[in-house]
Amino acid sequence: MNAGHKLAALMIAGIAFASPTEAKRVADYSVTDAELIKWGQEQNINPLSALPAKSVSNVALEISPSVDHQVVRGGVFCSAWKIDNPISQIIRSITTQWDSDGTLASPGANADVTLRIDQARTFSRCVGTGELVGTCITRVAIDGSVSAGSGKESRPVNVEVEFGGKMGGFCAGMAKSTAAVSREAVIAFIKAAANDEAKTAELKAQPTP
Amino acid sequence: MRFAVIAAITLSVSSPAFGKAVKPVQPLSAEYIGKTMIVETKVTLSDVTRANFDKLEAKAAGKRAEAGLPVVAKDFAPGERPKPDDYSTLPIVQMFPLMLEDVAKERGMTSGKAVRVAVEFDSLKTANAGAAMLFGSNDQLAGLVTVTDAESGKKIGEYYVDVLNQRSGLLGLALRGSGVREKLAAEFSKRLVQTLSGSKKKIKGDS
Repeated sequence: MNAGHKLAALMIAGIAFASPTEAKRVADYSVTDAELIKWGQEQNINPLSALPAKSVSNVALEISPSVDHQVVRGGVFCSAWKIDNPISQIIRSITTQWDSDGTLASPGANADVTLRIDQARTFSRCVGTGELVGTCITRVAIDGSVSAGSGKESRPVNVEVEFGGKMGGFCAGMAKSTAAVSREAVIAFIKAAANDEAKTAELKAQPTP
Repeated sequence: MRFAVIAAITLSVSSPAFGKAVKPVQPLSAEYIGKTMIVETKVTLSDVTRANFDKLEAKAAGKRAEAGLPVVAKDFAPGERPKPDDYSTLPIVQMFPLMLEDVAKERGMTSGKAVRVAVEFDSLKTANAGAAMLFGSNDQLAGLVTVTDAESGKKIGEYYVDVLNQRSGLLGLALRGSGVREKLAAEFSKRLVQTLSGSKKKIKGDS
C-alpha cells in the first residue's frame, strides 16, 4: 500500500465514522416547474412530461391529510437518509394550473370535476451496478378518484410511475429525484383523470333514452 | 487515483459495512403472515444490472456443460425436479424458485392460503478482489418481491430484500469459498421465507 492508498484508507475511515446514522431531507416543491425539470435532468430522470393541457372544467380538489408521507427506502445503500415527501403541495399546484381559470373550486360547489387524492406512496431503492457505481430507482404511486360535478359517482384513478436516476456522492440528489418523479406521477394522475373527464363529458352529451 | 479516493469516500458514506435487510414496502396483513404457502415463483432480472447477471449465468452454463447436463433453454421445464447439487448449473431464473420452494418446505410453509411470489432481482454483484484489498468490497443480491393472493389475484404484500456480504482483504475473499450466487440466493430465500412465515428464528450469520 503506497502513501496515497494509506491516505485514502484513512480518509475513508474518518468520513465513514463521521457520517450521520440518520439524516433527514425534504422534497422541495417551492421551486418553479422549470427548476423541477432541471433537477430531474440533473438526476438523469428522463424524459420528463410537459404539464397537462388546460382543462375546460372548473376543478375541485380534495386531498386526504395522510397523502404527505415519508419515502420508503429499500436496500442498504443510502438507507440512512430519510426523505419526507409533502406531495400534496405539488398536487395542488399542478391541479391549479390544470384548472380552466387557474382557481380551484371548493369541493361540492360549482365544480365540473372533483379530484380526490386518497393516498400516495414513494418507494426508493439504490442499486449498486458495479464497483463504486450505482443507480437510485424511485417509484411514486397515487390513488384517488375523479367524479363529475360534486362527485356522487366517482371512478377510481390509480397511477404508478418509476424512474431510475443517478446515485450522487453522499447520496445527494435523492430529495430532488423524489420531487421530479412525484411531478411525473401527478401529471400521470391528471392525464388519467382528464381521460375520465372526457368520458364523462361524452356520457353527458349522449341523449337520454 | 483522485477519482478512486472520491468514489471510495462516497460509497463508504452511502453504504454500511454489510447488511441484510427485508424492507416492507407493503407488509402482509396479519391474516396472511404465517398462514400461506407459495404455489408459484416467477423471477425476472432488471435491465439495470443485466450485465452482472449475464457474467454469472455464463459461469453456471459452463458448470452445466462440464457436468454433461443438457443446455437450459429459455422455456426450460425439467421433467423431474433437478437435484440441489445441480442448482448451481441453472440460470437464476430457474434456480431461485427451486431454492425458495426448498426453504419454504423446510420452514413448514406447506399449507394455508395459496400465494404467488414474483421476484425482480435488481442487484447481483460479486466482490471485486482489487477493491476488497483496498477498501473492502461486497457480494450482493437484492430485489423487489411482490406477493399475490393466488385465488383473488390481488397484491397482498411487497418487500425489498437485500443481502449484502462485506468482503475485506484476501482472507475475506478466501473465507466465502465458491458458489457465491447460490449462497446469496439461499440467504435471500431464507430472509423472504422468514418474513412471510413471521418466524423469529435467527438465521445463521445474524448477530
